[in-house]
Amino acid sequence: MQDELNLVQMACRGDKEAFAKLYEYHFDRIYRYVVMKIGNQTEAEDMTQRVFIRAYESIGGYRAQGVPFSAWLYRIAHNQMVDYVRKESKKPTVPLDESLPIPGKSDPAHEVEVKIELEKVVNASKKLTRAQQEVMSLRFGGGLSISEVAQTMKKSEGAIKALQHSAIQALRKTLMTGAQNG
Amino acid sequence: MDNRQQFENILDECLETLLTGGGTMEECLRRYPEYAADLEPLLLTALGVNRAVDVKPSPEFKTRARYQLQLKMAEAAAPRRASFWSLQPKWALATMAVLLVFLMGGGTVLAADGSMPGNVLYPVKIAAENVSLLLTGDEYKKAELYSTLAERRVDEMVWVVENGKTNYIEIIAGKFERVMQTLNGLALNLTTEPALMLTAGSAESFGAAVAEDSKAATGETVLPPLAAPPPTATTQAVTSDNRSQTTIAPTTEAALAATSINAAAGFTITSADEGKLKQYVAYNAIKHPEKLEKLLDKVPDELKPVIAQMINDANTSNTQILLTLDD
Repeated sequence: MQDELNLVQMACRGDKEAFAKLYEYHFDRIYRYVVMKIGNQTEAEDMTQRVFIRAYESIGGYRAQGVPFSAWLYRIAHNQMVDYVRKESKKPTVPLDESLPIPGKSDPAHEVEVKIELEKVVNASKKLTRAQQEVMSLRFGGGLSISEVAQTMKKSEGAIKALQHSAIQALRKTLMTGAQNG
Repeated sequence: MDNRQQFENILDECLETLLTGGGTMEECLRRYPEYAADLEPLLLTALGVNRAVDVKPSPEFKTRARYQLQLKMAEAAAPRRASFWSLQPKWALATMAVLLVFLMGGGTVLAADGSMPGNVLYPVKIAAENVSLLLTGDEYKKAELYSTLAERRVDEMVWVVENGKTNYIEIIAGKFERVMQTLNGLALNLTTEPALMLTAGSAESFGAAVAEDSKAATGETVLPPLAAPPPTATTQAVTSDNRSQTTIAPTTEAALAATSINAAAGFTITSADEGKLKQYVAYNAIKHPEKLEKLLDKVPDELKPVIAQMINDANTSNTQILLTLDD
């Protein structure tokens, strides 16, 4: 991708093509981040769309000093998510979305296997602390580096590495327990 | 560095290598044989998670989303009339602001403060708001001003409904939506950045929101919109721990004008800290939906969706802003 900072500066000045390039680059990653957080395809699609519309509305006010664009974008996504969770918590409990996203493979066996894996991960992630969940979603869903996660969460890299370690350990424990029981 | 930290660094290094395709697990484990037994299960779990979440949005959804964004962009690109005001340097605007107070009389501006859509003084009220925004450099204060404007738009909506001025309902709802969008953007900037600096980009975006808000709400002639000021040479960065400090040193004229206009326009912004802003927004989060919900039974059926949307905007935006500020 063309130098991101340059694109962001152009987008801040109202350059639509520059924003479109940023959109294309970040779209799938934001979507994965959202899916990993909520595990609901329909909501994840809506939310991803809202994240970019809000980013477009607000980009004129973005300033690059010291904070990467991705950190800013994931902050928007995070806020949308918190709002979503808040609203969901007021609704009666519903079963996990049956239409969880699947990769574009045509092998039904593979699709089922991956779907189960994702379900397991989403469910196991719910047992993590909020900070651990955020680190895992940003790192694995969003594909951010430790440094980018640290900037997004406004924590030190050391703190993020510690959270990453404890989150993976906890996930392993939950997934192993699930496997033994299942 | 203790053993735990060392292990966390090694785990991350191996993960980075695996996630970016820079090497294999075997290579990682060979590189750190003393940690291999602990590393392997964690790396396997992490890779499993990574594989599980490697999902892609459907092409249909991507096409739809792209189309929606294009619509949004086209909407935002609707031509705006360049105004005389937008071409003036900051000192000239400040001078004109002072003149506005003295020529029209501070009393006129103050009287306009309570005017409602359709009133002769309503355009003066909007112009005074714009000048206040223009001359407020501190971003917390600016956000506080926007939260006050949101409150005003809600009160105006109550007034137009209760006085049967239904032709203004959609206009006020549009103004409210733009104010909330700008406030959302401001809150996000305030909490995302380690240093607060007023830049041309941000100034322009505020200017755009202000200009949009200055459109003739009544079909009558109104004072033209104002552009935001360029950054001054004295702009200084402050750390996130020191946000309440002044981030921009306004010109003397601008400072004087800001004080006069803020007072005349009925704004009572006395502090620029985050706590104050949260209080305003928390108040709005409760009061706005409360006031608006009472209007639902009073408007014609065809305008109910407009009020319902405004209630939704009030709920969602105020909550979003509070969440942002709480982070």
